Amino acid sequence: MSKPQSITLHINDEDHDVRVQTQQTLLSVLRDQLYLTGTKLGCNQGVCGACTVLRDGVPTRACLTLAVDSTTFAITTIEGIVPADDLLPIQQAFIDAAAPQCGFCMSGMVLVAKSLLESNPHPTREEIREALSGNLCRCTGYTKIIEAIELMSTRSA
Amino acid sequence: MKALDGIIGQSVPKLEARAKVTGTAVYTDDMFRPRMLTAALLGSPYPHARILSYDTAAALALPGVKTVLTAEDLPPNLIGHTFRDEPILARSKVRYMGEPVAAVAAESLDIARAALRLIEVEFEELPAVFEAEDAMAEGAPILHEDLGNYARVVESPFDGNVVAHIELETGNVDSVWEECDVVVENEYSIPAAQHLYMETCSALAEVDGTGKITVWSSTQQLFGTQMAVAQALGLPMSKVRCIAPSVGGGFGAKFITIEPITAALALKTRRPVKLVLSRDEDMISMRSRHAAKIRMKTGARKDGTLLARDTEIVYNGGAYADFSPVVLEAGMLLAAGPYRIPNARNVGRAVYTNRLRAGAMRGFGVMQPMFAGESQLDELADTLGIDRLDLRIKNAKQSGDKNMGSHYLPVCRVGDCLASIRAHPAFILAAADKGVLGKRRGIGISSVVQQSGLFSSSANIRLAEDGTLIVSTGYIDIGTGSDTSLAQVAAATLGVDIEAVNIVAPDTDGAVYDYGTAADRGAHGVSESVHRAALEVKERLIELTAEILECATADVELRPGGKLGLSGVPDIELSFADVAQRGLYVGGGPIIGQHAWYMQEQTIDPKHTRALGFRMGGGVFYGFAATAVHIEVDETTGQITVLEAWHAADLGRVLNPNGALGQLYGGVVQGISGALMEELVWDSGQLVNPTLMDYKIANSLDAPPEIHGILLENPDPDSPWGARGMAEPCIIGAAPAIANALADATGVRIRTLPLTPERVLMGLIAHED
Repeated sequence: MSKPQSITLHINDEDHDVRVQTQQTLLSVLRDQLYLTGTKLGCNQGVCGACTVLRDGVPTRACLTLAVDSTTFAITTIEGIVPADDLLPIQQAFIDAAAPQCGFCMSGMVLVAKSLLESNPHPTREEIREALSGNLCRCTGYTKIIEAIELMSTRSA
Repeated sequence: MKALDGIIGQSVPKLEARAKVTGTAVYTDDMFRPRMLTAALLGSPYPHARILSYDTAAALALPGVKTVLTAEDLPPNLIGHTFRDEPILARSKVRYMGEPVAAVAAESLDIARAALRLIEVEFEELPAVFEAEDAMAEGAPILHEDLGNYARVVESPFDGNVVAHIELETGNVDSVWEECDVVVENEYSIPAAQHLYMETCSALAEVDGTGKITVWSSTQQLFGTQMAVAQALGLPMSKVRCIAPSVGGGFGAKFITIEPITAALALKTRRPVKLVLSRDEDMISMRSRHAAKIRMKTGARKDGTLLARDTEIVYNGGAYADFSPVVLEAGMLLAAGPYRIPNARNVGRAVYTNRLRAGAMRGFGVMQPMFAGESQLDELADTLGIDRLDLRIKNAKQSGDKNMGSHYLPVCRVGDCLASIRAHPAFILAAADKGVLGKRRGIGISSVVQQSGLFSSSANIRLAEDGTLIVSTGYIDIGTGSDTSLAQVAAATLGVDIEAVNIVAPDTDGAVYDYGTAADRGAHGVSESVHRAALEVKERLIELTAEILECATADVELRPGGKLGLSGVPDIELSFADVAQRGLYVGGGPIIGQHAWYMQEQTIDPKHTRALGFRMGGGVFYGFAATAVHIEVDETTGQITVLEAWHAADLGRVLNPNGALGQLYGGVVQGISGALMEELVWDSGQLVNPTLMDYKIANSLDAPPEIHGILLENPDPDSPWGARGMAEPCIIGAAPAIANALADATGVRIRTLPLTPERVLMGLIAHED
C-alpha cells in the first residue's frame, strides 16, 4: 500500500481536503470519507452505473476513477445537483412517473437523465434508451424511468 | 361527498420516492457507527473437501486485525429454512467453492482482505458432484452424511443426495394415452440464474452494553433473520434486534444471508462490524435460481381437448437445502399449467450438488415447468394444426374450477388474459409482421399460473395524539411499493389522507410480526391485516365518539378527512385528534387496532389427488397471467431482439396502478433477460462468470421499447378490495413466449435456456440441414 497523500477535491461546489491512497477510487472517497452515500457501489467494475457522478457535467463512473486523478475537475454527486430542501424538475418527473422501485440505481439514473436533457431537451425514446444503457436496473424494466424522461421532455416544451 | 376509500386504485406517489431520487434513502452500506470495523470472508478453494486444520495466527498478528473466526470459534449450531443443514462458517467440510470458511474483522477493508491471505486452512479434497443426475447415481459422493439427523420442517422423503421427493397425481395418467390422438414428449433444460439485485448483501451489527445485538441488513425477512442469528449464535431472540433500512432489491434471495456471521464478529469484538459483499463474493456465495431438467409428455384429442400430462422434474438444489423442498412443492402443484387437464402426474426431486445453494427466486419453482409446458403446448398445437391461442383458451381453467389437489379457484381469468392480448391493436399488427429474409420476425404467447400467499402476517395501528395513524406490520418494502399500497389500505379504511399514515420502519423491537416479503403476500395477506386492524381502530373511534356525543354508536358516522360526526347533522363533528386525546387524557385509553392471521393453505383432497411427500398444501390463492412477445431473429448472428411485449395480469383489483405496472414491466424484462442471456456457468465447481461483465443482465437496449401492460380486474372474494399479488406471474411467461416466437419466426424449436445467439444459430443451421 502506498503512503497516503493530501489532495483537494472540488465536490458539489465545495473544496474538500482529503488524504487518499494512490489506488483509492473517487467512489471510496465520496462514500467512506466524505459520507456522500447517495453515490452507490453496485459492481466496482464500471458495469452497473450505480456509482455515476458528474465530472465537469459529464456522467462518469466513480468506481473506475482514481481520486488522485480527480483534482482538476468539478465533481457533482446526487447530493449536489440541487439544494437539499429542493428538487430538480427531472427529480419531480421521476417521482410523478413512479420511476423508483428499490431505488439503488436511482442516483445514477437521475444524473444521466439530467445530463441527457441538458444536451438534448427533447430526446426520442431511442435516444433515451441509448443514454440509459450504461446504467443497470433490475426492478423497473427501465419503462418508467424512460417515461419519466419523456414526461420531463413534455413539461419543458 | 367523496368516498372514504377513493384512494384505492389511485397512483399515489411512492412514499419513499423523494428520498430515492435525491440519494437520501439509507441502505445498509450507507450507515457508519463510531469505532466500526469492516469484515471480509474467506471462501473455500474446493467444491468438496474435508477441513483438517486452521492456522489463523499470522492473520491475527496483522496490525489492525481485531478477530479471525472459524467454525471452531462458533457454537456448533446449524440454520436453514427447511432443513437445518447449514453452518454459518463451513464446519468440518466445505460443500461448494467459495463457501465461507473464515471471517475477519479489521480496522479497514484493505486490512481485512490482507488478513484473509494470511489464513492457512488445510483441506483434504473429496470427490465432487455438480449435476443433479450425477448426484442421484449409484456411488455418487454424498454431501450430507447426516441428512437424516438434521432438524427439519418438511416431511418429503429424502435419500442420499435427494433432499426432497414429491409426487402428485390426479386422474390416471397411464390409462389415457391410448385415448389421445396426439402425444408430444420432450426434454427441457433450465440453467441456474441469479437474482442480481443491484445492492449486494450487506449487514451491520452492533452489541450494546446489555449484550443485545442490533443487526441492520439488506433483507426480505425481518423475523426469520432474527431467529437465524439467535439460533446460529445460541442466543435467545430477546437478545437480537433486526432492522431493515432501505433494501436494494431481493427477488427472493435475501432470506437470511450474512447477518449471523456479522453478528458473531460484533459479539466477539464488541465493536460495530459492517460486512458488505463485493459483487463477485455475492454471486459466488449467496443464492441462485434452481437449474432444472424436465421431461414432459402431453396428450390431446384431435379437437384440442387436453387429456393428460406427465411431468418429471429434477431441480439442482446446490450444496444446502435452503428452500429447495418448498420450491419443489410449488413446481409439483402447478406443472400442469393453467389448464383443465383431467389426468396429470407430477414427479419431482430436489438434489444436493457441490454448487452454490439454490433458493427462492421470483417465479418460485414454477418458472421451470412453465417453460416446458408452454413450449410443449405450441408443439402440440402445431402438430394438431390448431391455432396456438385457441388451444390455450379452449383448455383454460375458469373461475370455480379446481387445481391439483382439488384446490378451489374462486377467480380465474386466464382465458380473458389471452383474449385481451389477442384483441390488442398492436398485437394484431405484430402478428402480421413476419420480417424479411435474414431478419425473420414472429410472435409467441404463453399463459401461466402461480400460487401465492403463505404463513403469518399481522398489523398494529395506533392513533397518535394529532389523529394520524402509526401503522406497523414488519413487512419490508424492498422496492415493490408495498409501504405505499399498505398506507393506501389504512387510509381507505379510515377515510384519511395518505399524509396522515406513518408506515413504521421494519424493526423486530417495534413491529408486530410478518413472515417476509415473498410469494406476493403484500397485496393480499398483509393488506388484510392492515385493513382489519384499521377496522378495529374505527370501532374504537366510534365507541368513544358515541360517549362524547352521548348518542348511540349506530348514530356515529365516519367522514372523509379523519372526522366523525352525528349522522344527519353535518355541524356536529369531531376530528380523530379530538377523539384520540379524549381517549388518552380523559378516559378510554389509547386507540389501538390489531390483527393477526395465518394464510391458511388449501389441503390436498386424497379422493382427488394422490400425493407423496407433499406437506405445505399451498394455494392460499392463485394468480394468472398471459405474456406475448414480438421478436426479430438475425439469421446471420442468431441474435434475438424483443421488439414489443404484452402482459395481461389477472390481479383481482388494482390498489395502485403505477405500482402494479412497475412490477409488471420489471417482471417481464427480468423474464426476457433470463430467457436471452442469463446462465451461471461452473467449471469443475468454480463459478466462472461471477461478475456483471461476464453475467449479463438486460440493459435499457435489451428491454423492448414497448411493453403493453393489461391489468384485468375481477375482485378476489377473499381479499380487502379484492386485490391479489401480481409480481410473480409476470416473470414466468417471457421465456416460453420467446421460445415460441423463435419457432414461429424460424421453425426452430429450442428447449434449452438461455436462447443465446450461439444456441439459436446452431438451431438455424441444424434446421436448414
